[in-house]
Amino acid sequence: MTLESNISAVLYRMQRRRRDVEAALRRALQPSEWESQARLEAKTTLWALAKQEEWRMVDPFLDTIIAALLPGGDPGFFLRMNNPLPPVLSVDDFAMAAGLQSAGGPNLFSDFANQFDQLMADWVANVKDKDKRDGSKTDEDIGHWIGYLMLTPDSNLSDQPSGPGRISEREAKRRLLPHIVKYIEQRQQSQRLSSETINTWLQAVLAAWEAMVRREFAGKLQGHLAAVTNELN
Amino acid sequence: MALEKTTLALMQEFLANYFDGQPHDVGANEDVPFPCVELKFQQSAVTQPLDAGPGVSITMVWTGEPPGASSNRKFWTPWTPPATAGTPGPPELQETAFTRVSWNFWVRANGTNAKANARAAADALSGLLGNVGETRALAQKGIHRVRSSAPRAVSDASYSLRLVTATAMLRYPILSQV
Repeated sequence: MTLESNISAVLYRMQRRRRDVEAALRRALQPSEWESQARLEAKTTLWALAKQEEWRMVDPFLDTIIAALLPGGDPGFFLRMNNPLPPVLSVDDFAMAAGLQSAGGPNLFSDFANQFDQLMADWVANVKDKDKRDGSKTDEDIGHWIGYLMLTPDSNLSDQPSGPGRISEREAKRRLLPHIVKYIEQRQQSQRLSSETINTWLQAVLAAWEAMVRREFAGKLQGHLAAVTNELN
Repeated sequence: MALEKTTLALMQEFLANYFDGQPHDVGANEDVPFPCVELKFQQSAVTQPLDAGPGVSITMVWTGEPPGASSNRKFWTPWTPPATAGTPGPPELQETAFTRVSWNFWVRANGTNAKANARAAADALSGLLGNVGETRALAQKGIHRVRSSAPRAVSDASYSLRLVTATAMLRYPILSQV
């Protein structure tokens, strides 16, 4: 009778199994495996939690979702969703941005100046009581002129009326400023969520993602392990 | 889509039987009190302000991919047609689909005692879904093996929010083949 050891075959199979598991793990942790599902989870979560007047805020949140590999080459991925809403800006912020803007073409602050001009044009179109002084000017022209008044330091504005029956630039700015400040505040507040709501949304999506990974990971790993094993066989 | 709608309708019927503010016999020594809640499904918005109604809401959300042909497992199972003229028909084979599904239940409360109310509703929901004796009624309608997680507190800011997750197996006949 001959006794033979098959330990080397057992060890070989164990090593191969270990390689299979590692390969399956890497595949199961690819961001592409999770991104669409994470987006769907976030979408259903936010739609369930949002009040009707907040529904238009859902898509901007979903647009910020990122799924990517962990830095450093370790197997794993991360999911991220941010608050997409810009901070509330005051007239002073816009004025500071305008002050920082150099005369030579577009720069980092050009967007703020354009945004302000647009805000002013909207104010002219929706709020301002137009009179004969506005003449045939377009809303954009008037908005641009008011934007210039608001964002220019007082010292650079004329304090002399440009003609009979007219007021100086400084006086125009002084009279317009409270209306513009009020409009900007109202306009920006209406496009915002409270910080509590934002935090709740972010935490809820995080909880939903955690539940998703706990629920789905084993199945994904199992599927990839079966596929890897079949490939090697 | 029809399957999703029917399942949600069955879940609504099931949950509404319990979350009515009355105590219910759920197999414990004493009847267990269930809070009165506003039940919502998918993206339907809850009544605002929440504390104007019952003060607590449960929103059931279908998670992951909706059930479809890709997630089905199909088997031929014996089936006895209903009796005609007093005699049961001969046993036949019916193709039946099994689909694993998962849901998130968002439990919200605000107003007085929001935290305690949300916790009570989430605990009751988790316990109910994990109670095999009570979910038998669902199993008889094709929603099998309901498993729930322990409630997780998500936020206690403007309102108290808790998450209960659950999975189940749907079993339904494929009727298109005649």
